[in-house]
Amino acid sequence: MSDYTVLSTVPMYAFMGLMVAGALVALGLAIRSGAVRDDEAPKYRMLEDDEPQAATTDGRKA
Amino acid sequence: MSAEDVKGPSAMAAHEDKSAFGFVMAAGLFFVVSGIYALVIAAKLQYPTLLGSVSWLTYGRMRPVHTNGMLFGWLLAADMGLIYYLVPRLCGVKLWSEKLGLATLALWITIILGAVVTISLGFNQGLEYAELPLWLDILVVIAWIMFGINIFATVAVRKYQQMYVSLWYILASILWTAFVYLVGNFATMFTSGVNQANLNWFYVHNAVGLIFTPLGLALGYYFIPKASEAPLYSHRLSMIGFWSLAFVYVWTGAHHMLHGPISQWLQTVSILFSVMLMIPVWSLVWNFFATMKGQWHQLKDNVPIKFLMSGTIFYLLTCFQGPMHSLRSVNAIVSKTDWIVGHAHMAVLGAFSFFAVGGAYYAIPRMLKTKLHSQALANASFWMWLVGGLSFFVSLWIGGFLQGLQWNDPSIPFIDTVKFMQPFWAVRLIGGILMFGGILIFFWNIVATFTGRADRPSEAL
Repeated sequence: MSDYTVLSTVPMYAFMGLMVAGALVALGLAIRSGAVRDDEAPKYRMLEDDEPQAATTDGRKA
Repeated sequence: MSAEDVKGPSAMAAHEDKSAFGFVMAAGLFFVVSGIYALVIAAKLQYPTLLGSVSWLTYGRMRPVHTNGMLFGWLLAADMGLIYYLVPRLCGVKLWSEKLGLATLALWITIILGAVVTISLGFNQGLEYAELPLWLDILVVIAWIMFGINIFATVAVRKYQQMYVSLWYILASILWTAFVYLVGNFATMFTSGVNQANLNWFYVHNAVGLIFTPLGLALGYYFIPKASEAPLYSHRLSMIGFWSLAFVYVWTGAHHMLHGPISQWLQTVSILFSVMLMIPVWSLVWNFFATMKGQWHQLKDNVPIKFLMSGTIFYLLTCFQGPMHSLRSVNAIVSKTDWIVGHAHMAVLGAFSFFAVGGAYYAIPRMLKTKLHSQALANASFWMWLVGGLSFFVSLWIGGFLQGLQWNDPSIPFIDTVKFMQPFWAVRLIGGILMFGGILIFFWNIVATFTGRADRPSEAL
């Protein structure tokens, strides 16, 4: 039996595959750059980020 | 925090929050208007001749105004406002451009007003959630690019190298939204018949799964620890949830067309990935609940936490139903019935609106450096929303399931199944009235917080 959905599924799945490939590339780049690391530091830092604070010359909160 | 976490010099992070507040206020107003439309069309199910045959007041015109108003006028605008609030704080810098944020707000308001006018006049592309005329679709794309530039530029100059999980969800959803919206509103123009339906359901499902889900979860990951003042249980687990959602969600849209004229392999793939959705969902719910360990007493007085944790439970229920619906045997009963209407409303008005309202109750006093106008009113809005929502959702689940059983019995005339639903639609209307009361109180509370901000200094926070 003919598959009448080829017209939509082929480009749709190509785009979806592209998205997943993009996510894989993003994950690899993020790990290499240090944006993803296997530690828990961000969850403690985010609790302290509310109030505007002056930054020291090295960028850390005063 | 180690020294290498810090990227480099950064300006003083004095958050202006003009764009953030403007978006949330506009969203609140659209919430009220969309709620009025919702009540009218719910009443029309009880009284079909209500408002006569005036064209722009007919069910067919009012329903798409309601759905687009809720999705893009209220929820997406509220999410955008709260993202303008939390991204600079998580990055330790100011928003890249408040002017660009305000220009985006002006364009967004123009789009929503344009949508109300054009759909009311009968301009409609005839595709679910993609009803807007082409020129408004183009404006949406432009507005989203402006929003994306502002957020990406803010993240690019962030003070901390390692990003909190909310930032991952936000950055990804900006890209996913662009992709999903283009497919749903532009790619569909080049197809017809079952192929167009295939693309449309890919869009409809991923409008929820790759736009409102990641944005809502980003809010939950930010506001639950902030409002409870307890650190997230596990950042590692949150990242597993994020990446598994990134790889799994995109394949599920075709489960809306099970038993339809699409290929079996496509249906099977969508079922497989729909069931796999339990990985990101349960990891997130476990994370939120474990974060609240030892903090549950806060449910008594902490209104943002009430909304956020109730939203988490609604999210769990929604995402338990979703994979179950995708099983062929269950789908044969509930597909296209009012069960699905209850499910969709629980996702948008239960889970993700609860995250947005909880976040707004937490963030607005901090944006305005004042105290919330009334905790009692906020509490009242929560209970009206919760009781109204539950009666709304549950009545449609019960009615819809029975309706599905009736549809599977060819001896029952269709009109009898419509009459059968009337008591359930009456409960839905009453639940909707209660929810609308909660919306009105919420909007009044944030307006009064703004107008009376000078009387309540920030020290009172």
